[in-house]
Order: sequence, then C-alpha cells, then structure tokens
Amino acid sequence: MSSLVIRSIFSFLFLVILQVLILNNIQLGGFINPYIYVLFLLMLPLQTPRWASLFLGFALGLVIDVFSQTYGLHTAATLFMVYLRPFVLRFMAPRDDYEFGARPSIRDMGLVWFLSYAGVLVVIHHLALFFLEVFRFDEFLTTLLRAALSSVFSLGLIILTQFLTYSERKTT
Amino acid sequence: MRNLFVLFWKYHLFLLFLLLEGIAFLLIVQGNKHHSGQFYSSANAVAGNWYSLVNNVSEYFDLKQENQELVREVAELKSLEPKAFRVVSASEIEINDTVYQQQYKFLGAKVIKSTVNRRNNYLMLNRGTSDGLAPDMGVIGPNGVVGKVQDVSEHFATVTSVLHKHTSIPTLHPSSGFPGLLNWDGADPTVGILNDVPLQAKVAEGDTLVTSGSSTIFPEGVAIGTVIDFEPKPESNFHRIRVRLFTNFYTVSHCFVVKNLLKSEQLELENQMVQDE
Repeated sequence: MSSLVIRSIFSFLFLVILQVLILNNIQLGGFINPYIYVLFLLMLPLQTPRWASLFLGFALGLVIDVFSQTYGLHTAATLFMVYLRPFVLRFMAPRDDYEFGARPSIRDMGLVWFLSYAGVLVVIHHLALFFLEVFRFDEFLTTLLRAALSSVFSLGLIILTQFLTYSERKTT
Repeated sequence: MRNLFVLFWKYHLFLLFLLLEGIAFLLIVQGNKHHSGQFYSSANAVAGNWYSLVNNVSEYFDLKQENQELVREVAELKSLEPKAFRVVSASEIEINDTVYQQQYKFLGAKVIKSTVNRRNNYLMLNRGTSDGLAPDMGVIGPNGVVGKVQDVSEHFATVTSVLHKHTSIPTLHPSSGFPGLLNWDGADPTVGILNDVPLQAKVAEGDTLVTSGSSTIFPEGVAIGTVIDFEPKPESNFHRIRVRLFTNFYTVSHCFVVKNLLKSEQLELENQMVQDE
C-alpha cells in the first residue's frame, strides 16, 4: 500500500513537471496543446474512494493552473473529468466485473479497453477545458477543432507513456 | 430530519463535486477581473521565481537572434544621441521645460514567459510593484505593441498580450485618419483583426497601423502592424482588416512598460463626464 502511495506521489510530480516544463511550450500549428497530466487520474486504482479522487483532481488541476496562469480552468475541467470517471468505469466493466486489485492500465485491461476508456475521459476533459477557456460559443467550430486535435495528440502521448512506464509485469 | 441526512448522504459525492467545482469557477471569474485575489498574487511569486530559473537556461537558445535585435536597437538609439546631431543654430539647443512636459516614462523589462497557443495568452515580466508597476499599464516591445499589465506581485507582473479575447487596442489608420479597435480571433498568433474602420476609409494592403492615443494606456503612434488584406463586413458599414502584427510573440524577450504620468488626471476627468450624464 505504502509503495503505491510513494509511486503515486512520484508520478504526480513527474507528470506536473513534464506538463509545465515541456508540453506547455509545445505549439503545433498554434492549435494543438497536449495535456498529459490527466494520466495520473486515469491511472488511479479502481478501489480509490471517490471523495479522494475528487480531492486529488482538484489539487492536480490547481497546481497546473498556478504554473500556467490560467486561474481555475484546469481545476474545473479536471474535476469534471474525475467526477465522471466512475460512471465511465461502470459502463465499461467486463461481464464478471473487474478483478480485485486490477488497475485501469493497458497491462491489466488490454489496449482496446484502455484506448476507449482513456479516449472518452480525455475528450471530456479537453472539451471542458477548451470551452471554458473561450467561455462563449461564437467560435464553436474552431474550439471544437482545437479540442479534437489536442485530444488525439494527448491520447497518443498517454499511450506512449503507458508503454514506456508500465510495461514490466508485476510478479505477484 | 433523518430523511434529510439520508438524502444528504446519498448525494454527498455530487455535493462535494459541486463545492469544488464552485471554487474552481470562482477562481476563473476572479482571474478574468483585473485585480485578482491575494492567493494568486502570492502563488504568482512562487511560479514567477520558478520560471525565471527555467528562463535562465532557455535564454541561451535564443542568444544569437537576441543579439541581432539588440544591435539593431543600439544602432537606432545611437542615431538619436546628441553626438549624431549637428548644431544648426544656437537658439534650438535650449529646451523649454514649460512647453514640453513629460507624459510617459518607459521601464525596460525582461519577458520570462510567453504563451501563444491558447485563446487567452499571457506574458510574465521580471518587474513588479517594487519597480513601480501597476495593473493597466501598457507594454510595448522593440517592434510594436505587446499588451497590458494585468496582475503585479512584488517582483513579477503578468501581461495580457494582444493575443487575448479581452484585449482591444485603440488603433489609428494614419493615412486616412480613421480609428478602429484591434482584436484577436484566436486563430493565428501573427495576425490581428482590426474592426470598426468605416468603409469610406481608403485602406491599402501594406498600410502601417499605429496606436491612436485615445486610451490612457499607450502613447500615440506606437507601431502595431501592417494590413495584410481587408473585406467589408457583411451587413455593416465597416471593414474587417487582417493585420500582420509587428511583435513576434513566439520570440519576444525584452519589452518596455509604459507609465502614463497624467493617467489619473485624464481618468478623473472622464469619470466626471460619466457621472454628469
């Protein structure tokens, strides 16, 4: 249990630093910003109490906000995503429910399952984020395009990170 | 009463979500106002120190281009030096202080962070209240207009750049004399949109646009950009002009904060007018 906590703290710090130092500076065509930090929340164990994941989402969003000068934008979008996560998980549960101790990762659940799970939540997060940033609907199509392109890019990076960090099989 | 608790417990997660989301929205609304709260000013200083550390490293990548720009600027300043002028007649050397009163002061600042890829973009400067900065001061770069100071902490300031949905800069089309407002549509960080120039103004491609001086923020005649193309806005009497901005927000690294010494006087008078109406 404690090793899980320590690992989570490290991945929290790693993702924040990666996001703030590198990805926030990436501009592809002035349109695409990947936001990979949500991976931390996607990877929370299935048994995480929902109140705890809400608080974690709030804290993560706030840290990203402070370092990106965005005043609550990421907090709002991240909270929205993390609130909907249990519903998405329930909707996508296997026929005989999740194995005890399984994590929502490629290794435990398979690529197709993870791709659709992460895809849905990343799109929700990005739509909330980009529409809150614009805060009006008269640039609807541009915003939609930005959200869609960025989602694809974020999702790609998330899958890549999964393969890089979670590939070793745990010997339990 | 017991039922109330049961009901409350049943929805406690949703209520917690609403509470936290409420806090987030409070922050968003507060951030959109000009003077944001104490919390973010102090957090600003933390993030500011952090970014100046990062900037110390990343600065080296742009050194070459930076040097070229500085050399150009030095050349420009040298041409303004007294040594560069020949005395034409003795009477012209005298500067009469009662005729020229200084209205604007410029303070050099370094940009330690600049974004271009969002709908609302910011810059961060390494100057703050200790250098006399205050919200709503104008910021111009070596090439042209950059933005307006939004928040100030002791040693840092954030600037809403031209690339922000709340920015609109009073602009003048000098060859026709018509004013307009420059905005940004969120698409291309090198292109601004100039609205409210009436159709009878004779606009041509390549025309230079400058600030109009009708605001208290920028001095008159600061360069903004050149006209790329223009078209009449449907069902209106105004042009929609696309403007190539002079300031390159990808690479801007030095700029000047404009202090208007007569600002409070001007604003007071304007407020008086509003009250009288």
